[in-house]
Amino acid sequence: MNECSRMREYASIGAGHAATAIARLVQRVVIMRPARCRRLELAEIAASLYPPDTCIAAVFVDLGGKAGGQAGLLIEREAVGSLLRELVGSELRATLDPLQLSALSELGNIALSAAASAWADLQSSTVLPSVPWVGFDMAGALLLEAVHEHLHEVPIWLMDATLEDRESRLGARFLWVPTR
Amino acid sequence: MSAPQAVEVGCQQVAGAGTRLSARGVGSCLVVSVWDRARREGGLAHLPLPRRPDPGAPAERFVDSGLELLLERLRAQGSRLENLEVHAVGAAEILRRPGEPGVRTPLASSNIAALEVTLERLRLTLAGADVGGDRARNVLFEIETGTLSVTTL
Repeated sequence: MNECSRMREYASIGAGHAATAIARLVQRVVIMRPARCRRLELAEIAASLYPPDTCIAAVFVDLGGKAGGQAGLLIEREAVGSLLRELVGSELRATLDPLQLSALSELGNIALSAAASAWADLQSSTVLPSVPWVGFDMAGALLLEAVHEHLHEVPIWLMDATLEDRESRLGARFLWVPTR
Repeated sequence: MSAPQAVEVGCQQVAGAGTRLSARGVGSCLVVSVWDRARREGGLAHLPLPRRPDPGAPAERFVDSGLELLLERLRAQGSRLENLEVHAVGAAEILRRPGEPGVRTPLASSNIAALEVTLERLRLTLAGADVGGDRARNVLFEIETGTLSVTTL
């Protein structure tokens, strides 16, 4: 198994546990597509998942321990609106109010902590996610800011897996950028 | 009119009248435009990092060396320093922790600081700027007129 295959497998395990955690929270089936593994140059990062000015919500954690790097949950705008109606009963506007921001942060925290916990079990060690960072803005800008510490050492490895549901109300991606 | 040519992160482009250059999804990066009002030529640099750590690092990635390189390229094509207008856009802080004042990275403020030092070293002043804040931006540079348009979501 080469390095990319190993990291893709690792990302799929994290994404699977994140999907399960989200499914429990929203009480519907969440489908995970197999993770992709890519090596990206600096100029490719911002548009690697969405057109760079696509509006999304993003929750990122820094990973302490053997896993390293950053894990993230990216949620497309339409899905953000749907989730906020379900979680806090409010409508999405141009920006998120503090309650909406907290709700998305907590959703990301639950999903990404589930991934970190699965990774810790896998390697019989500790993987500590940081307190989450959250933003609701252009995808390219959010992604670059999340992985800023890797920008001096491009290309970077980027693993992502699509998360969706049967009703097409959840459009999201799980993300892992390992430390080199 | 033809579609804008995208200037990706860590890249820069010089072009003539009739060309439009764009940078999309600009967060903590600085986008610097330089326009030669006499020759109606210009360039756009999409700069993610503040200072070039060593001469081996690609100049296009850093605010200090990237701006200098863009000016050199325009001067090599015949531009004179006194005809150049420099604008800067970006350096927003868009990732936060709910209820906390801190930001994810000091990158945006470091980029602004690097720009100020570089402008002073090159004896240039900004003709205009839209930097800082907490919203990402799209930038469109119309070289025919030197117009720089900035939009947010």
